[in-house]
Amino acid sequence: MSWGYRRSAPPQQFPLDYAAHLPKYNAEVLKKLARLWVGKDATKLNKEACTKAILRGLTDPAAVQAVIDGLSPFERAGLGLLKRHGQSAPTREFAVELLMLGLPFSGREQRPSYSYHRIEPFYGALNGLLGKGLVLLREWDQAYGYARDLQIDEYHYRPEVFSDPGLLAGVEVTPPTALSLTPVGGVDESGLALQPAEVVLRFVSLVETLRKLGRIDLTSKGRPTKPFLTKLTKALGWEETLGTVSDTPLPQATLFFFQLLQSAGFLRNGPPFSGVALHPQANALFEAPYNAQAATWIRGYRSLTRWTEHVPQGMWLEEDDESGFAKFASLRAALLMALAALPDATAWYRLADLSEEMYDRIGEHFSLRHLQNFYVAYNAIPEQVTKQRAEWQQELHKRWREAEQVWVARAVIGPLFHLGLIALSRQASEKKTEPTLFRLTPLGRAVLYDSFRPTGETTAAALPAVVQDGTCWVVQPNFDVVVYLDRASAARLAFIERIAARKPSTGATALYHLTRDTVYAVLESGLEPGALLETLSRGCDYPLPENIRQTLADWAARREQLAVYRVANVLEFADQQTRDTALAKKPGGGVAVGERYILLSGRQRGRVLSASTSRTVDYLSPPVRCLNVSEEGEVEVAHKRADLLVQGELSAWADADSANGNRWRITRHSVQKAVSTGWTADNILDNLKRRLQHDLPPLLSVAIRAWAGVRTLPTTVAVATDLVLQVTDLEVARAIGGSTLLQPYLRGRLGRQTFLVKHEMVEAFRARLAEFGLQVSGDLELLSSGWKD
Amino acid sequence: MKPSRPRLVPPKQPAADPVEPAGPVGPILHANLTVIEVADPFLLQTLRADRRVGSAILAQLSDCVAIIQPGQGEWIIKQLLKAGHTPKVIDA
Repeated sequence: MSWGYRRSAPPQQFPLDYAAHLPKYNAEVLKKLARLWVGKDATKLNKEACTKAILRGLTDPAAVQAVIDGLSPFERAGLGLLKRHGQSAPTREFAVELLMLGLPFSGREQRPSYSYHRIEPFYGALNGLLGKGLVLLREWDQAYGYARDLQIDEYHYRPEVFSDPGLLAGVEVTPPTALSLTPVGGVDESGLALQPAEVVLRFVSLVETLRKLGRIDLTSKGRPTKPFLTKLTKALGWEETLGTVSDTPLPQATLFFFQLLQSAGFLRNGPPFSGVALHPQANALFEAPYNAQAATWIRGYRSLTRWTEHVPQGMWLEEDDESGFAKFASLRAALLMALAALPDATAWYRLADLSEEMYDRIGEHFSLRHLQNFYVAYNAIPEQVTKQRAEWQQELHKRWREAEQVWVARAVIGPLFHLGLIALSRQASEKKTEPTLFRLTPLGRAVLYDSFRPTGETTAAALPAVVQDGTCWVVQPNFDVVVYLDRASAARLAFIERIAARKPSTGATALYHLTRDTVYAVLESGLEPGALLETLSRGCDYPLPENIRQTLADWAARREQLAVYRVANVLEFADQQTRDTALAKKPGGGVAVGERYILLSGRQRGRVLSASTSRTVDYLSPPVRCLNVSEEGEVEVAHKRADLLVQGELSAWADADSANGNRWRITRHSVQKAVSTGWTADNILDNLKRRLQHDLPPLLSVAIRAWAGVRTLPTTVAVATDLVLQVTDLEVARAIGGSTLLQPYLRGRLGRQTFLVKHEMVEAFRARLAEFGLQVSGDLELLSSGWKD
Repeated sequence: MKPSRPRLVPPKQPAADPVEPAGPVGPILHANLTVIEVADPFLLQTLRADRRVGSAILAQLSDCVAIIQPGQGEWIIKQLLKAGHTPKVIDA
């Protein structure tokens, strides 16, 4: 057996089931859990009996009701909170939500038996529920050994808690205890607030832009790559307006909305190596009631990673480290609970007051930065302890105002405002430009406040109904489209986003502009020209201007003028008659092209692949070798092996033989003409070599370089008036030595670069060399006379 | 610099080869080609005359159908868009 690395399957979480989890606990733990169901007799039971007793109790409605009746208000509210989450919740977020309930919880002084550390008050409330087994930590299937304690501290690795559906069925969702906030009167009621339709428009724009961009590139850590984010930011055009210009800044707006979409589960893994893709049902959400949409965004917002509202000074945060964002998720959960605990859902409150109330509930248990713990000095008398505690609390409060209070303000002014949940205002007496007052919008009230309260306890918030498809825009003759958001359905918004470019606009209308590029893009995405005109007309308050109708039709018709088949097959027949016969036998089996061809695209390709063909040429493979060339540059195409492209390639750098269509000739003229159109000697030689059925003759290679005027290769040779040829370049010497064409002129070889030329053929040889672009130097002729003497 | 080609030669009917025996009767399948098709032959002539686009058109099957150099499909679509054309791009 090898001791090497063995890849194992990633750990999986247990099902949300007590029966699956109880066997993971040791006997002592199970006895504690069983006390809730069988009382003190649990101490006498063994492990198996405890498990059975607990499971039996959970399935008995009377026993469940008895247990719930015996719970404290905090425990019942805690279970109600978990019920609101579904059946399970993220551990950290649930722990802070329990603290924000504002109810006294037992077990504040409990301390994990295995720990030397002081108690972690952050998990104090949660440990109260865990200790009784009302909720359990969700386990991993690869955890070793038995759990010896039910409670957790800061260093746990159980990201989720859950409870039994039977237990949850018996409790009601309870609102948190109201905060002690004082409403602010005399506020300008108009304030700043986004209408639900404006929020929908934002998400529709994002989704449609992502769809237009196609591929979504993420880093290995799951963050969008910088080039992709740059492209998305540019396409959306929000970043500057939302980030700096407005009174309600939202930093890194593009990243925020993208991460929110991802956190809400609207991005999913695409095919391998293609990044992630939009969920096909992304648009369906926009047609749901506004409060259902907002609830989805709130769930995504609470657990948002890789983006944050504000990073306090002194807090280290690594962009790619998801766990680093856990503290922000906790604070978001606390903020959302605080908004649910407002004394009056319709009143205006100060942001600073909200932060103070949050501090009162969690300030001693939680900090975005390092939480300073309170330690009592050894032998300190009670007065000293009281004094030290007061100093510690003062310091904590100061640090909260520096960090968390700023964060709370940024969260309310930024994401919560831009999700349409919060209205903002400021008092007339204040000099600050940024809002200092807030209240819930009807949408915010429905999602954050009323959802904790039974129907009928509060007056339901007046939410506008989701708009159905109808007329909602005006198309102007100058190609501008003014969209009235209060009447625009999500489908209409998605349509206009696809066919037109958005222009800057705010308030109740959105402005778009129809351009040839946007219309072309939408036609390319598969929308039929008829459907485009029809939908545009249906959404229009007035008849579509005639010039718009005509221009759109022209743009669509122009697209039909030119088609590019990315991948197509062509069947080549011997003659037109054979082609026509084949086509007549199989109608719809392709389109006749020219005299001898059938063009096959789409489904036709697949059908014909199985048809009997004499030969298949695949153009994704290297080119077919179908050329023969002589030293003199005579090229012959082996037509039995030729493909459709070889003639076109040859025409670039060879002259056609007018008598024989399969014969070509590479000449000084043809090479120089190719060079004048941008070819280089290397291009020509590469092209030729890839097509040749044999090695390229060295002399032709030298000649092509010489004709192309390549100066890097010395082409000077010399011929003695008598018999000696000296060649300065080794490559040229090899070409001459290996040439069958030049052999008749040579008597022999004296050295690697020196040849003996037949006396009577010197002039003919000199002319032959000149044909191949090899100039003869006069200097060497003189030298050769001396050599003779 | 991308080489441009001086002229285009449509694929010719193979000349009769007295040496090689006659091949099988079936047609030849040319697979995985990028093809450009125009409604008006004049448009194809215009494209061929274009220095950038024309260099990638290697063969012409008819007055309205031509073959693009393999691997140059995306490049030529981009060039067509740049030149103000709105090609209908048909995928497999």
